[in-house]
Amino acid sequence: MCWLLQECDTSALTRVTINCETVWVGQMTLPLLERAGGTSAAGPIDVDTIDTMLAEAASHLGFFTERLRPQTRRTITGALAQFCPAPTSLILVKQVQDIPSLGTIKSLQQLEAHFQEVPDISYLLTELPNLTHLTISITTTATDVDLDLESASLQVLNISRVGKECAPNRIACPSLREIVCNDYRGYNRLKIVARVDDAHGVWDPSTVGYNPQALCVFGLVSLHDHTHIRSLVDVVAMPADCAVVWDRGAKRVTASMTLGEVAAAWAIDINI
Amino acid sequence: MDGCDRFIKWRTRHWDDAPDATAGSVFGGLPTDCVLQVLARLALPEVCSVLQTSRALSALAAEDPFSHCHLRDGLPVGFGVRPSKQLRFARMLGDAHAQLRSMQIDHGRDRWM
Repeated sequence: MCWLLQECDTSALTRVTINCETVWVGQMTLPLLERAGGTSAAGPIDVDTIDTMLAEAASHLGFFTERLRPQTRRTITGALAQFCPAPTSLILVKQVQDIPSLGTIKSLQQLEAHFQEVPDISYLLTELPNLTHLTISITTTATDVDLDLESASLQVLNISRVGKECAPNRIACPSLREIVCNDYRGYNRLKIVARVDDAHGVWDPSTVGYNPQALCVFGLVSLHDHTHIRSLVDVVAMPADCAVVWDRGAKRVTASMTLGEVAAAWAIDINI
Repeated sequence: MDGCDRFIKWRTRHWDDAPDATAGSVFGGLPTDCVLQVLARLALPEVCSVLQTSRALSALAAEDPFSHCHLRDGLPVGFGVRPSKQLRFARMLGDAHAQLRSMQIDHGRDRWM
């Protein structure tokens, strides 16, 4: 791809989608990997060695790699930043590399990417002044990872694929109008919270003791006991016009709605 | 040349004198009856070949392939790789310095056990 970007006329290139899925290594191929790494003598007999296959790959890709100029950057985002003057949409699926160069593509308006580190997301938001739509997925072994979001341009944030561990705890995005989450009752940390007795807690239409005239408040809950009324970790301040969407758009709530309105809508529409 | 020849660009060598509304089509600009006359003079395999080529070229023109680069399976897959027309396509795009408007690369979708 770097060679293509180097050679082609990219003056009008605006949309780029890179879908690099990781190879699935099964039980039959695991010994092959171990043998190639020198950690195991075991291995399938009737299969080529990794070295042979890598040599084969190199022979087919040699044309491209040999013609890369020395100054051409070797990462996808690096080559994009180097050769494409104005890409506006970039989708990197299962592709995590070279975050700093991604931050130099100032023309980006829509970004869908897979990250390994939460701070990378905050960094990109500060570096991309025209970014309006951000869809993220993330691989992390940590639990209850909080996102710190600050952007003047961001309008739509999709966190429906971040899994159960990651959610925004601070949102300083005045233009934000929609946050897309996954299922409300699933492993989703961003919930509606309600004040019951003396404490805030997770709310749904079956919650008892809340004030139906109270405006909706959003909060982060702990995954360790995410369904318990008192599992709230933190209240999240949301822009007034921003809607939070769950269940693939079936549940849509703004901070200007009362809990009673939400209960009525969800009880009828969602049949809770 | 008979009456049909004036519509056939590669015979009159007037490639650039007509609106290119059907660019890429073998029969671009030809009236239907002239197309039928041409086809009537061809043997059946040639007719099939011409129609197939015409359809392919029309599709290429409509999709404007050099503005959208879509490389799919056949690029290096995991630890293996197959010789692929996709690689040849990529080479052709680069050699032609094609203008790209969008690019999609699906890479490593095959699985091996």
